[in-house]
Order: sequence, then C-alpha cells, then structure tokens
Amino acid sequence: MIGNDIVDLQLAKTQSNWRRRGYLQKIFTKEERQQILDSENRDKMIWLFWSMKEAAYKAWQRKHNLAPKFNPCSLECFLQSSNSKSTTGKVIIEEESIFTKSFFNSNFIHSRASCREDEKIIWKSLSSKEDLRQSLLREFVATAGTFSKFPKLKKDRNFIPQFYIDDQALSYNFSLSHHGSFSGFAFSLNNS
Amino acid sequence: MEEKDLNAQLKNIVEPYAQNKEALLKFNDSSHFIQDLEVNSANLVDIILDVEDEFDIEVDNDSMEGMLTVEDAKKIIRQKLQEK
Repeated sequence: MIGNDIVDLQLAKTQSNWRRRGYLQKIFTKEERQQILDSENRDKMIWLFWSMKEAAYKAWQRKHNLAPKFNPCSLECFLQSSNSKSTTGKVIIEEESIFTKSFFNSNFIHSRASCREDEKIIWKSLSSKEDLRQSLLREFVATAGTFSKFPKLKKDRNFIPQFYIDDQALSYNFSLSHHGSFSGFAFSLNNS
Repeated sequence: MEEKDLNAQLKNIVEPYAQNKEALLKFNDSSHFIQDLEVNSANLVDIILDVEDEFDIEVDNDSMEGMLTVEDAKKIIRQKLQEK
C-alpha cells in the first residue's frame, strides 16, 4: 500500500504558523523537534517531516483499512540519505516501518510512502492548473495495462479513493494530494 | 454550557480554517473538519490549540486522535470541561 503528500511551501508559510506556542509539540516527537531546531532550514525540515508523516499515514491506513484518525505524534520520521533535491527515509507507526522518498525544490515538497520497500511506484507532481484526476488516470492506463473500459475514481467509506470500472473496484492502490498551487499523485504497479 | 453556545464558539474557531465556506453555512454535528469543511490537516492543529485556549483545557494526543467531526470535538470539550 502507498500514500503521497505534497506541501506548497509558499502557502504553508502563510497558512500555518508553526512558531505558535504548542504547535510543534502537537505534531512532532521530541527527537523530531530537536532535528528541526538544529537544522539550517527549519521550514523545510518541518514540512518534509510533515509530508512524510501524511504520506506514510495514508499508506498505513489503507493497508489496515482503518477509519481516519489524527495523531501525528504517534508517527516518527527517520531520515536515511539526502541530497540537494531528495531524501529517503522511513516513518515508524506502531512499530511498523513505512518507507518514504521525498522530492523538494524551493516551491514544494512531495513525499511518497510505501509499506514495502521494493514496491514499484509511479509518482508525479504537477501544477494545480492541470487536472490531477485526469493526469493520474492517463498515466495509470498508460503504464498499468489494458482495461475493458477507461477506469473512474471514487472514494470508499473510509474516504480512500479507488479505481473503478463500472461498479468493480480495481485492486491497484494510489494516492492523491493537493495543496495550494501544486498537486501530486502516486500509484503502485504491484497489483495488491 | 448551552448546546448552542458551544456550537457558536466552535464554529467561530473553525471559521478561519474552513476552506469550504458553503459547508460552513451548514455547520452541524456531522460536519467533518477535513472532508466537509476542507480544513487543511496542518490547520487541524490550530483548531485544537484554539479550542485549548478558548475553553482553557488540554487536549491530549489520544483525545486529539478522534477529533475529526464537530460532534467529536464537542464531546471532547465537554469531557475535558467536566474533568477540570
């Protein structure tokens, strides 16, 4: 199972005041907060961790088919390797490791997560002006194979979107994310 | 606390973060902060901090975990006020 999350850094600056008293304590563990405080670019570190958590949570929620909940402190991020454009890491949720990759530039941070380290994932970030659902469907149909009809997207009862052909859900998993001027998608080529 | 006062106070708190203003007009117990009111998940933390300030309570992480709808929030606020 997979998940993805995108953060528009410009919007995050005006939308969220992480300097507010108590804010970071509600979202990050003690170790994460220390890494944020020690980092040269605190904004970037905060939204990197945040997007990793969101992406990992989505993957984990889908895997266990859970109703949504909100407890960011119960997830902990660990960075493994980084360069100037991307980083790999993992997020631990209830002793389970979720594997993440993040891409960033000065405008956005995009993370994707998977429960299996070797999962084959297609992920893309786009401008919000483009139609996210259509882009995902086009990319999916182009890479995942032939279908009797063009699939549609629908959300299930846990608000998790699925591909459907007529009323039949396809067993591929994917994730959509949208924030400000950017959106992103990820889907797995491993048929679940 | 009167039910309608609690509703009004909570609506006031949520208002600046709700991106779906139409859903805000229909603000009710079953309104889901993220799905209906389209609150950005990072702003859910602001709502929780505002609730803590407004009602002078502390919402621990376990309570926060279940605070996804207006009804959930009201339940937690009432419970925390009682514990005071």
